[in-house]
Amino acid sequence: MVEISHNIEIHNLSTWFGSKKILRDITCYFRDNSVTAIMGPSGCGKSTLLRTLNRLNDLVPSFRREGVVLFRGQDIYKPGSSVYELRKRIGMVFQKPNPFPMSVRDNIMYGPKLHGVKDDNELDKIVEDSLKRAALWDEVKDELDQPAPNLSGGQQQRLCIARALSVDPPVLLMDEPVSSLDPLSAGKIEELIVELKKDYTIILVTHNVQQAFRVSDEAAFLYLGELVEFNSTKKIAVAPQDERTEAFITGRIG
Amino acid sequence: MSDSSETPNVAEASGEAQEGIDTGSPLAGFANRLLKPLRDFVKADTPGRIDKAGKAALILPTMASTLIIILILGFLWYEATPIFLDPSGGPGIIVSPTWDPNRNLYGIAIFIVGSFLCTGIAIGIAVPLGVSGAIFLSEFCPMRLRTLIKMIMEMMAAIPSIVYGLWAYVVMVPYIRNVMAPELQSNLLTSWMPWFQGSTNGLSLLAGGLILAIMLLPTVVTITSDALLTVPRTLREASLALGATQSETARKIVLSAALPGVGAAIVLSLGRAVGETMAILMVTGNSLQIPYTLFDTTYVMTSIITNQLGYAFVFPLWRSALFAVALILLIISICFTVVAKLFIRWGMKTRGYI
Amino acid sequence: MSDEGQSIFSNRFLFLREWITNVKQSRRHLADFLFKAALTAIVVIIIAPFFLIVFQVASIGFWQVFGTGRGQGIEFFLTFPGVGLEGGIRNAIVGTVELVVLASAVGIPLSVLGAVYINEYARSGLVRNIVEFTSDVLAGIPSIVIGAFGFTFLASFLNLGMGVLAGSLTLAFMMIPTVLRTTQEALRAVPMSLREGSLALGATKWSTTWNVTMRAAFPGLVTGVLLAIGRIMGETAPLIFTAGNSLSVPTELVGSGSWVASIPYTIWAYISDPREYLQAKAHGAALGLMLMVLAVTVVANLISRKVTRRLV
Repeated sequence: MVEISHNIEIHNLSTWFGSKKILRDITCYFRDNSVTAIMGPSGCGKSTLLRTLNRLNDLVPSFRREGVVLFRGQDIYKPGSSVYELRKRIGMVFQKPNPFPMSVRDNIMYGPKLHGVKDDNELDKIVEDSLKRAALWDEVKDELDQPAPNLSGGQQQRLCIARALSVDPPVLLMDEPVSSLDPLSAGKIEELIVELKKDYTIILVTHNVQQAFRVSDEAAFLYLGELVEFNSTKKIAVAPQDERTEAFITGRIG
Repeated sequence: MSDSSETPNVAEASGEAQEGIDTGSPLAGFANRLLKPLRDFVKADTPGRIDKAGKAALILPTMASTLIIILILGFLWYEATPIFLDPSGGPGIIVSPTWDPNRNLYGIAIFIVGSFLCTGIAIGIAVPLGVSGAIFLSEFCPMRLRTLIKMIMEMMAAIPSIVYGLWAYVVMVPYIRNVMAPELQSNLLTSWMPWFQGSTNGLSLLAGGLILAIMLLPTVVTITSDALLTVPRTLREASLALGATQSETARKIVLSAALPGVGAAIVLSLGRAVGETMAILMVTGNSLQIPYTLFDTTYVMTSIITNQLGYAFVFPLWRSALFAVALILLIISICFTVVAKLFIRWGMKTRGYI
Repeated sequence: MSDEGQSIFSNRFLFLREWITNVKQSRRHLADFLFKAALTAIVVIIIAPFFLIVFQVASIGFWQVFGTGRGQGIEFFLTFPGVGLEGGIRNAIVGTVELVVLASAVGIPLSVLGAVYINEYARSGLVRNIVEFTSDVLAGIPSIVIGAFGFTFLASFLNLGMGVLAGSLTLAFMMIPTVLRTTQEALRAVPMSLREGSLALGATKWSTTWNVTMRAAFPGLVTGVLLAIGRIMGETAPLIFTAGNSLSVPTELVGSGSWVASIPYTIWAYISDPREYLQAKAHGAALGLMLMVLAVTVVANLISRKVTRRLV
């Protein structure tokens, strides 16, 4: 049997914003080279969970956390560990496409430059590589110097994926990446996600059950801050163990 | 209202349709265009007539600012013409350094140089400080403190320039004379620098530049931080998620995204700096020379008008020369406004905002 | 994906790589910290002059405004200057009030009506662009240039002479851009549905504009007006050649009896005078002017903040 490895593990994680408890005692492992979907109705703590994994919640002054998040066996919240190095290793794609207001090329080069890549040839190679991985290269290779906000919505989101890939992270967090796109662009990005899982650990937050079933290998159902169910997507789709999960996937809650 | 078919929108729509039908010749079309509002007015019911008359009555006030600009341009041009046509004047006054109304010499170069030096010093201080302050306010400052500081900035911007002038005159000028100049001229590190030489009574180019910088700062900070605050939060998050530090995000993403607004703030404050009158007048010493060090006195364009127009208005050439200075100030200020607008357009385009 | 493929060689020197990363990281940490510290210091430098100015003006002006001696306290505001400019500055206070009121009476209607036209009526973008452009240009013109224009156009060409009318018209020119632009902003912020609601009841555009749109935009308009008043109250340069100066209050609109003093002009005249008691009076006048201007500004900001909160 193939040994299953986990880049990211969460042990007994609880979080608060001020006095409001958002996540309740969550423990789960995200399998490498697969897509894990975190689904649940809005306000259930999906995004908070995702942002806890790359410490983006640190910016909120009232944020508090208990429990442990391990990235490759290291506690990411250990004092003295570099949050910048962590965020470099854990890429993120946001709900709305948010390309920087600069050229397509500069968008991709931003991350590598931050982390010390100076050589022009290397940067060019990274640009081409990242855009190819994000299936955008053929569409934009002649307009690399155009302002990125001029691209279409779907292209912008793929650019954002390429930007996240530019620093070569083993893990990719995706926060409802297609919810603001038209169905056609959304389909393209879903295909891309399936393609990318060969090389990356992908954690996908979504409130769209059908999408979770289409693209994910494993699925987690989060309800009111609680991890109700975590299992392979097939099992959840066919025979959910918890009645709340069933209620959600059949559309009775959410 | 009794008759809903005569609401303005409907009336306008039907009027346009009519216009499209009978345009036999261009002349008839033009006459039709002129007469149409009149015909519409006669046809309308009472509320409709009030509406149309009201609309017509608004046109004059609407054109007020345009009219004033045209009048200002016209009158300053008219007043400045004599000196440009006179043999003792001519366009050469712009580069001629000697201003001596008693000998009919009206070179205004020293005022232009003085204005630009003062403005240069002020902008050199105000822009780096102001932009940094704005970054602090929008990126690192707790909400409450930001509200407080912005309030102070607004009050600073509201303080009349005469009050700044008073403070500069009674506090800053003596400080430069008694503390700053001796300090800078005795200190081993700075005493050899050519721009710190010369004796001074405090009234100086430096005093003018400093007070101007202080006056510009609130505007620069306010406009810049407003521009920075409009940058969407998701851009900051995207940068942080790539492993950037907060300061890297502030400089490379937020500042760059807001650059059109920041640039406009800088250009507008340039315009204000050149046009500032009272505070500068009180602290620069106003002697007819080109300053060679920071402690030399200087004379700026706004000061010469303020000081001499009252005496000059019965001497045609003298008066005309002063209006020439005013005309140059006017043109400079219009240029800055235009440049600011162009800069915004350019910036928005290269960033894909429009 | 990348780490699995590490060669034995690089694994052996992993600690070295880690060490180099740490140094690099800590350098970035340090840079981040220094940057924030520098910005904090800069903000302190930026706001320091405000307190220095308030302190200077208040410490000397205080006794003029709140003292009980001759020409101090209430007397400072209520008596006319006497021999050797002893006494109060009633002439300047009355003058500033008259100038501001007259300027507002001309400037506010012009700019508000203009804003209404370009926002509610103008169908072509051309008119709007022209008006927006010229009012921005007008806002950028140096105040002394406006003063010189007031002198040649109002005082000489229209033969108004120097005095309260020429002075206040000059100030009115300076009000127009501020009031016009803020009113326009306020009108633009009124939701279209409000207008449509009124039009759908059969109201004309005219009555909709004044009874519905303007009512909704009114707080914004007040903000603009207050900001403009705060600005012209402290203007000196435009008045030097248009308003003249006077030790009493103007008795007519045009002519030699119409010359008028103003607080900023008085500050300038007194501070340039070597007599010490006039210096103190200048501080007192500056304190009074500053309190008035700051009060107007704070009220304007409170209104605009309240409006923003309501609309958001």
